[in-house]
Amino acid sequence: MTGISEHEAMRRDALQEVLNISMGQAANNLAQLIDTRVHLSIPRLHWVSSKHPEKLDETLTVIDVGALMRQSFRGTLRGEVVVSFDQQSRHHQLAECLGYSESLTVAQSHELTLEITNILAGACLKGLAEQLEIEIHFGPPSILSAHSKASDYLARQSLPWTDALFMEVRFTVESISMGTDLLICMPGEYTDRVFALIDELLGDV
Amino acid sequence: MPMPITVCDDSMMSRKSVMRALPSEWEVDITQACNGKEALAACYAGKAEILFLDLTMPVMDGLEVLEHLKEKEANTVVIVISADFQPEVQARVVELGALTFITKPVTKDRLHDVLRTAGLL
Amino acid sequence: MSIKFDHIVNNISMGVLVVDLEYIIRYANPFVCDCHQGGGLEGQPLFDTFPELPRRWMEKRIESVVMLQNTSFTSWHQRPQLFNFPGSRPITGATDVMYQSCSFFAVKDESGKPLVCIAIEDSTATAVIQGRLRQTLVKLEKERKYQNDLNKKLETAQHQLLQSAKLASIGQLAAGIAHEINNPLAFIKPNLVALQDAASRLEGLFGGYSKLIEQSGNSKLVSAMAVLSQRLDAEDLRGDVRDTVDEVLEGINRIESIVGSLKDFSKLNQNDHQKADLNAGIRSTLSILRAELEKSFVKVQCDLAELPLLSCYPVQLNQVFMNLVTNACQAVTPGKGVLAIRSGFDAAKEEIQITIADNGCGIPPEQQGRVFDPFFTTRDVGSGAGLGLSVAYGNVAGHNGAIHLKSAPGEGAAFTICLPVSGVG
Repeated sequence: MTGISEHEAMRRDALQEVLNISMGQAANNLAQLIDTRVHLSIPRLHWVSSKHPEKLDETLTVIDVGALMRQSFRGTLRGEVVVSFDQQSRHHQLAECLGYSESLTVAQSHELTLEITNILAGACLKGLAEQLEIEIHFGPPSILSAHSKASDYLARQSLPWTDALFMEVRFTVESISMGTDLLICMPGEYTDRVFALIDELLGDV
Repeated sequence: MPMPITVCDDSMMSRKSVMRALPSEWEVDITQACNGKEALAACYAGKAEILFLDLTMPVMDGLEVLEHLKEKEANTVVIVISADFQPEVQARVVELGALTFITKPVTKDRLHDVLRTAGLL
Repeated sequence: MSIKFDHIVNNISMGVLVVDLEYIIRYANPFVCDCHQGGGLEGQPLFDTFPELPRRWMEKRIESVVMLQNTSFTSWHQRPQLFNFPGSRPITGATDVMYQSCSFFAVKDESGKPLVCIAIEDSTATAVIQGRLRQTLVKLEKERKYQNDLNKKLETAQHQLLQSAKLASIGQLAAGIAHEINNPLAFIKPNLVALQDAASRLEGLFGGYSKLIEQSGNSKLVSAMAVLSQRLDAEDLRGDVRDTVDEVLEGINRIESIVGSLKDFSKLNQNDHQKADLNAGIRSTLSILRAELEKSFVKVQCDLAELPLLSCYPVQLNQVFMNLVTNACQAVTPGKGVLAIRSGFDAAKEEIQITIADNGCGIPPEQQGRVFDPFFTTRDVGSGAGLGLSVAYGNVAGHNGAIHLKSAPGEGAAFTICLPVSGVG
């Protein structure tokens, strides 16, 4: 990371740590519900520009096709969480934990996937909101695509943003081979607000 | 003589927040490490009677550090401070010889309680 | 500012239901009560009041929002009805059940005890419209496919029309030329025959005169005749005249046959119309060509299934068989050729199918589109006008049928004639 100031580096480090703590809460929530260990990756920050969609493909960790879900959030910060479930993810094995019978209809399996999305997204953003001392609310989750590459979907030209901040973390539950990539996406206008809140946090530390 | 302690975390902000939460009257010699490899080096160099250890780090993570220290039967007292506080993780950490687990973000009160209970103050 | 929140909850167009962790209803707003058709829900067990609720799933959801302190959602897309509420449009509506989207979130009562609030939104309007949209899309897709098929058929028909138009104009040309050539042919042939006759009479005369001179005993005359004979090459004269006339006659015959092909092509012979068994036509064509077949093929396979009688012009169709078999003769290596003829009736398509296939040199892909063009030939000048296949094409088209070609270089050629059993005429 050449060319950024010490202050900028500190801010990014702080945002990453805030994210890390939020992800820890999300993992714990899911773990409690399914009574199984959840693995977290180290979170990564991506600054993306819609003018260079090909860069998105290079930076995101999630390179494969998967099922894409999305959920909006609003409040002091505004954006969408995009969750990509690996093509081979067997998260339907969580059906029993979430109150379904072992054999799921198509509609039920969609509902299950959306609920897992809701739980992870909700917890990550709640953690973020608590640390930054702000309020965040959610809309219902929905299916974006049954079978797409996240970077392909997000790089389409018709999207309403020019630059954005994507915060990425990967959750895996090895015992049931479930793999998901969670992206907290905020349009560029909110990046300043995020860092203003980070500055406040750094001031307190 | 000041006690040598090491604070290990890949996040600078996190190391700072741990250091600020330490009791002010405590006489300590602080070494900072930003991954498990550096933490082990500090331990073997005698700079870590107490090690405050994060879990999710690049190069070598916290669990690997604990495994190494257990194998070598090191004298270091390890207090894990992590964002990943799932019950299984906490149990594993204690199994590997850590004294106790503190969930991030760390507070002055929590840290004081832990140190006092452990008789380290 | 004091706002009467119960006023809001009473009038909002959504269901609001609050339960405690023993699943007893603590509060139900008028929307819910009206849908349930009976008030006094407070204090009632949730699952007794609404037995349609999937108990285990619901309990898990309620527990999870309390444990995780988050909001959970359901959508009509995946779960169209959670509560068995009647539709809100019993007179003008398209459906009599209510499509619902719900949310669950944790709240507390005055003593801080955890409760769960369930908000129920009526999504019927959206659901119905989306359903209609989906149906419309399916219909549009069907129509689009139909249009595509129609377009393809139109393209094929246009192609055939063009081909026919080509054939028609060339046919007119051919008819004209045939007529023009036929006229002089009409007096050339009889004149040649007369010439042959005159030549043979001259021969007789010469022979007679030679004999008379030899018998005269006039040695001066005999030797003068010998000198003259030698000077004018009398020995070869007889042979020369005969050979020359024969060759010319052969040439004239060939011209006649070409004119005959041109006439066929321009359909100057309309021929008779009748209900015919095409297998009989195939057999008679093969017997006419017996000598050619023996020369070219080691094996002729005939697999002729029973065919319905076809209303057609049998002479035209026989011409098709003849032209295709003749082509096959010329395509194979003599002594190694195999000819396979198959006929059958496809009941599903309601057409008679006849395939004539050889194991000859095949036709390269770039030529396959042109083989049916008039005067297209890959053979040397003089060994055929190149009209055989275009005549065949025209004759089959005249019966509302089609000829298909399947071939690859070195792998022979198979021509399949498809004739609708409805026939013509």
